[in-house]
Amino acid sequence: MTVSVAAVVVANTADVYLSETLSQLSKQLYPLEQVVVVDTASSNETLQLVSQFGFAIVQPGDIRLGAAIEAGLRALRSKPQWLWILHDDSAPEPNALSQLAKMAEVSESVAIIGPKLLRWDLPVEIQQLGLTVTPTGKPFLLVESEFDQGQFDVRTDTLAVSTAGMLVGLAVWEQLGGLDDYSPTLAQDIEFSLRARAAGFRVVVEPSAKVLHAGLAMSGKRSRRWLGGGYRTAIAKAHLHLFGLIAPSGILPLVYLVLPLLALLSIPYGIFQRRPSRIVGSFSAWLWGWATLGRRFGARRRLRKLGSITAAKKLLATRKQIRQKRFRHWQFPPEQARLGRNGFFTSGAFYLAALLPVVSLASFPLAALLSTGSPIGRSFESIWAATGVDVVQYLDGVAFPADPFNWFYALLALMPASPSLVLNWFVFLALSFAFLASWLLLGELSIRPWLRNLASATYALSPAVLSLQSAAAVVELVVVIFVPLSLYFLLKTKTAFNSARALRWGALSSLSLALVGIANPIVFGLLAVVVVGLAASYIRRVVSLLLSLVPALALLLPWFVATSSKNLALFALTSSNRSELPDYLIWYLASLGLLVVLAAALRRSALSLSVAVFAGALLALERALGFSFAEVSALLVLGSVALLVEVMEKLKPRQLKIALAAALAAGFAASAVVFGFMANRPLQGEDLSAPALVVAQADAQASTRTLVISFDEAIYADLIWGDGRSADERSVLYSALSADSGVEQPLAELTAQLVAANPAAVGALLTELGIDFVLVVGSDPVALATKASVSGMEYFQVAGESKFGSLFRVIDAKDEPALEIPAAYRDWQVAVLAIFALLAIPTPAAIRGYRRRVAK
Amino acid sequence: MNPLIRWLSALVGLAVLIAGYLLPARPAEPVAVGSEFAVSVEPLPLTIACPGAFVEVAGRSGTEIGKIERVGSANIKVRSALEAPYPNSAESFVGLSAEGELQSTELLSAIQYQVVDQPRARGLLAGYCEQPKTNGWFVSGDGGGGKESVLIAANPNNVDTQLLVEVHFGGKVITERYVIGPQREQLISLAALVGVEPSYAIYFESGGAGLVVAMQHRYSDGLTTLGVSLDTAVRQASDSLWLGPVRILAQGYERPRLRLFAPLDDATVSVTYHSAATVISAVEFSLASGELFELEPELASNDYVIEIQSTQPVLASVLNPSLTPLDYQWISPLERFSELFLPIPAIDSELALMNPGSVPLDITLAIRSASGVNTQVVRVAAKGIEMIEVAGSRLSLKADGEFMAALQLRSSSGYAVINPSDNSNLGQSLGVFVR
Repeated sequence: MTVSVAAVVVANTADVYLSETLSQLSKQLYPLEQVVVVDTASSNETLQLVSQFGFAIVQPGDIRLGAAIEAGLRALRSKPQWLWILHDDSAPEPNALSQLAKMAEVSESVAIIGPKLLRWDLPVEIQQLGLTVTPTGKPFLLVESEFDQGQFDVRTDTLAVSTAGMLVGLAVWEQLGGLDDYSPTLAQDIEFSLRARAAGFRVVVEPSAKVLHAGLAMSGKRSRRWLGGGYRTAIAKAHLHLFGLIAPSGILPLVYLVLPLLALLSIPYGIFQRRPSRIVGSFSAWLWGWATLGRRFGARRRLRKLGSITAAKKLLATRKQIRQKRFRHWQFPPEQARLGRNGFFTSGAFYLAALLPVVSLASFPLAALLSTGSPIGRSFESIWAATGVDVVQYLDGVAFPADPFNWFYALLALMPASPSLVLNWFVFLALSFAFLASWLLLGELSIRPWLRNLASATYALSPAVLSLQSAAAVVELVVVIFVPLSLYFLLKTKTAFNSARALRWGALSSLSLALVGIANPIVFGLLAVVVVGLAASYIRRVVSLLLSLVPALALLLPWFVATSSKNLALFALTSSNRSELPDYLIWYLASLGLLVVLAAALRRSALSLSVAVFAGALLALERALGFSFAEVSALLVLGSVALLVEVMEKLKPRQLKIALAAALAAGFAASAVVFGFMANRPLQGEDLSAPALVVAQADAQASTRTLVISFDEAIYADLIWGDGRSADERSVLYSALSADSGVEQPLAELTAQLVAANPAAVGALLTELGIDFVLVVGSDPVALATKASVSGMEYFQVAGESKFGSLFRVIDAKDEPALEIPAAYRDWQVAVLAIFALLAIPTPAAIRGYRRRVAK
Repeated sequence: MNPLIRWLSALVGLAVLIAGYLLPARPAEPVAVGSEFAVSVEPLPLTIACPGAFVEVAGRSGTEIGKIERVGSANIKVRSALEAPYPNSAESFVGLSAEGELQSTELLSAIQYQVVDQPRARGLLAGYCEQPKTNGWFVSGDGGGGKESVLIAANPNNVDTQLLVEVHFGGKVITERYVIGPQREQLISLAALVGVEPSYAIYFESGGAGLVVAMQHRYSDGLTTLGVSLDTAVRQASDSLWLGPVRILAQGYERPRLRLFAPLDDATVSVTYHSAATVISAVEFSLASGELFELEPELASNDYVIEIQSTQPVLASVLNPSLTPLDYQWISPLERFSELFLPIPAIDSELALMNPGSVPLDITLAIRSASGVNTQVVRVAAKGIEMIEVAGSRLSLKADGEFMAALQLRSSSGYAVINPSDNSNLGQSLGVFVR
């Protein structure tokens, strides 16, 4: 034993980690000349703890790592040859120092030796075995999260080692000037090692020397000040700093110049990676880099003065190593929570879901539905022109926001088929979707496949849901499908085992809640209360849970602003295409009441009370606002099946369970026959909202305008834009509030002239209004007389009969430019949706549950 | 968990549910129907047309198969606010026109009548000269031995048009189309379309401007002529109809025949016969859609107005026979007026005034004759009928409520009823909802 070693332990908190570290230090087989503990927190607890072990202690105050080690060095009675640096959460095995010292003895060129760092809580797993950086300077762990089976026990040169357990020659330390506290914390050790390399020394890892490392700073258990911000900020700063050290001098200024651009690019990347903190990190690094530009270049200058780093660059992480690490992130073990559960296929749920559309096979989707809410626009462009806009297509444009539910139509229109046909498919598959959504939700209450399947089928085949499906009540079906799905996603968000997964579940919740919000803001409001309740009950997921409300709020905000200044009750009515169905609410309410009592009696009071309060609040709000939403019955059924699952889980007698299950099966089978097979369904046809000639002209000329004259105890005049007023172009606000416009009077006059068969001012009015077609609807005497009158006027050419009425083309119609429709909020709304859609895409972090394993 | 807490939570849950359900609902939001505008448009000149003289199928001789032609000429009596020359008679259809902003029967009102005395047709043929219609119904179609119906379609406009004719009988529909040139007429023998079908309804629709369409009937028994009738079209079916005057003129010989037709849906119909003295209780029955249904009420000698109420829109007409003189008349549903102006034919005439309301109604009747204007107030009982003999050149009727009126012509030559309709073009203060 020829080398003398003194240990400096940098401590911050007197806890079990420091206690264990000091204990292990005292057990070292290699003699330590001195041990000095540097307490940066200056606490009495640390003083007492250190004195128990008989080690020296200095309390220089709250200083950074480099200064703390220097303080420790100054406290040494004599100068050793080697200095062993330890953190308060790095407990060395008894022979660790002897293995390190052995290495120090045998190789004179080695100046820095690092141990194998193992996980504190799982000592069979390697936390770190040497450090390097990627070619761009990002810190890179050569071995990470690998079980220690000796497979890496080869003594090798490495670019750098962590300061946790680092053995460094004191002479080299002094020559290099120790750690640079102006460098980012996570770059200090790598920079120090780089300087050693540049000065001609070697840096190696000695795998036989093992140190347990808790990595408290990395896992957020230490003050953020120690890292100089959050973890991602610290990494980003280290990345930038180290890049400045190793990058060719020619490109360095350029990179600093484009830092703002890189920060902007980090936004989508960070969202996609489910690491929004990376965005913060990138922006912080950019601002920090610019603010401390002199110091960055100073650090580079000092490094280069020591010598060349060309040889050291051979130790940078290779592309293969980077690729392998990335690939490893996609491998993940099955979650413990899922073990023992039957999946969607093994439970038979898939086959049940696939069978459900048989109920509506008679209306197999081949064309557009001809119902209240269909057809919608014929293309994405057409629907997009009516989505999120600030003007609805009535008269010469009325300044009301478009119905929020149009976002759903726009979503459907993204499919590569006729939007109305896709809508028809949505209705056709709605039972399967409802089944799947409730199956997922009920999985949070029971793991029994038969019970989940039974309860989900009871929901999907309940008269309430079947009635909505047979009536093609799209708005209501969206609520029926996405309420259970939202609840499922929210529960997953709450119980996700790491923040990345929580963010992904939260993003899925947010998109699902957005659909609920645009279909029924009342239900969304109640779900928001549920979200707040969940967040309050599990504060660690508060961000992910509360973020899930953002997209819906973004979509509903313009609607709220518009309705709050006119008639707030209309806020609840987000679509003009709601259906009115027979009301059997009292029966669903009675069933729910019974199950509330049963569930409470069987010790499921919390759930039963929650369901009752949700349902009661929903009914109360609906009544208070003066609406009667058809989907409320279905939501009562959802609450009932949730309680039913709880009741069935609690019931003991097997015969009773079988009898109950048989009764339920018989019930939904009967319901399927009566409300499914025998139901009257809307017809299907072309996705036209106007005669084909109007549509053809509108395709060629977007400014096409058609005056529709209809009669129903009065004369009605509608000015229709483009290819007809499809379901997405209707407006709740215009229907409820009407609006003043300069074209109303001339429209009324033109209509009156046509009805009265007086051609006097017809030509001038047609030109003034830019009308291309007149459509006369109806077959009563006045309608027929009007048709006769229009056909007899010189301004019109008879264009034929259609199911829409008699069409007349205006001869020499004035060609006007199409009106621009403003959409002040839409870009922001799309941006919010895009961010949450990116967050919802699975990534390694979200699937595997990436945990930080970087030791410090 | 404590059982008390469990039961308490169950009770609270139930209470919340019930409270939510029982909360009084706020009234639903009213739906705007658009902005209403009252627009005054200068109406077109008021045009009416008389269907013209009797049409003989198979020529004047009755033996020229395929020939269909006018016989004689119809007398035209016009009452107009304008001093314009109007024809006194017409062989073919004749259009009459008057310009004016305030349009009603006061501006222009005309009737036609003709004594038909042919070897195979004899009687009084009379009718109101109506505004052209774009569509309408007749339920008086008669076929079979001795019965012959002719559809007279006249186009008083300056553009041609297509006439669609649908014949409805026994749930079947026969459709024919005719093109009628401007200022031309089309005489259609319905026997060629219907064959021997005993009764049928006719629906017509113009593909363009309105037409004057009338239906002429001729009845005979072998070589004995029984009468003629001219029937005007009804625009659309209604769930409330009034027909009259029905004077029992063939007591013990032949009863009036009420014919009903439900063009849209099955209906439950109630028929009530009102006279000045009696009300015969309502008969209620079901009427199948698309089927013609006939009733032959046994009514004592009197003047009647028939009230029809139905659950669905229906059409009706009554065939009233006359023994002395021997003639027939199809009487169609009456229109309601608060003011009516009519010319008086130069033939024995009675004015039938009927009150569809539930309170008596005073109607002011003014008759202009060579000796001046004779004014009287006629009180018509609720749902009652009053017959007043009229002689002169023209008459006017005014009341504070709604009444119905018709002229009953009866002479030794025959019997006819003229059922007036309102004459006006749309234009004065039209209400338009802009949406």
